[in-house]
Amino acid sequence: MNDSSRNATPTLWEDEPLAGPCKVLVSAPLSHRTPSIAITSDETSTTSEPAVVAASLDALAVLFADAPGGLEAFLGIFDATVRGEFDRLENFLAVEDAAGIIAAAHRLAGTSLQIGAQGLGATCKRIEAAAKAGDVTEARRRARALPDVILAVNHSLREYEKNAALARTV
Amino acid sequence: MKVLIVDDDPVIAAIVKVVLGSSGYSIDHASDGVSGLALALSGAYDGMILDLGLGDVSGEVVLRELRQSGCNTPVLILTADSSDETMRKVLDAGADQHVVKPIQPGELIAQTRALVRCRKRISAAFAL
Repeated sequence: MNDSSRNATPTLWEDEPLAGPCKVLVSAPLSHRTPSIAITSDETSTTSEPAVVAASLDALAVLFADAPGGLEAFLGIFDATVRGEFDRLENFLAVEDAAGIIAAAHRLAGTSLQIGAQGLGATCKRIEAAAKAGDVTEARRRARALPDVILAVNHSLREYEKNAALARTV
Repeated sequence: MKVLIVDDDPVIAAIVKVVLGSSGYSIDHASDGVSGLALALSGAYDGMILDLGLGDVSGEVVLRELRQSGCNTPVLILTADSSDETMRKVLDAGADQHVVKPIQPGELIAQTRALVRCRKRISAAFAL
């Protein structure tokens, strides 16, 4: 684990502090890589899937290498999309709108799995499945894990970018 | 070759744009079904990539409207649902191909090439 991640105050996003430490184990990108980024939170252990699969980020880094803003700009799009969908999902959960929960969880799962955020994708699929079964209470229970899972994804993406920047300077 | 992507997920749209853009396709993007349908009906596209789970109207409705309006632009459906029932429904609604998400770049490029070949065959048939 890297010192800065151990000491950092975990936040979902910059303006939204969360309590609790988060273990972040991140592989180096590209030529220094290991098969996956494994992240677990001390607060919840609701998902055994890796937060983000490093190979997926490596593939995206290659894909967006020549795009304006590169991978960083793309991950900015991902971050904004997750924020929006998480807010939408929370609103639907608050009013127990099953159709809305299904749609928002489905979209968040799709977005997450596309970048290799398997833990977030799996959590969202569980929320979607519960809502589809008509069990909004279970969907809400499952959704309680989301802040920690999103936190883990954000940490791993930041670590990946940091390692990529380091690799470029070597 | 000009392709229209209709998807309300900016992450998916960004990936489609960069994947197909790097293969020489010109990409237009609509982020909802209504504007996507309007663009598709212009007939300016060699192919259309359509998400099933749009926020305003479903991709299946867009597809049915498109076909009922006589637009024969080849359509590739993007969906996270790989069930037989979904595949049957979208093919019956007039889709030509489908790609299951998460998108694999190589598969998307190959499917898009096939989509454009389909367009050329349709154009040739109408020219006869």
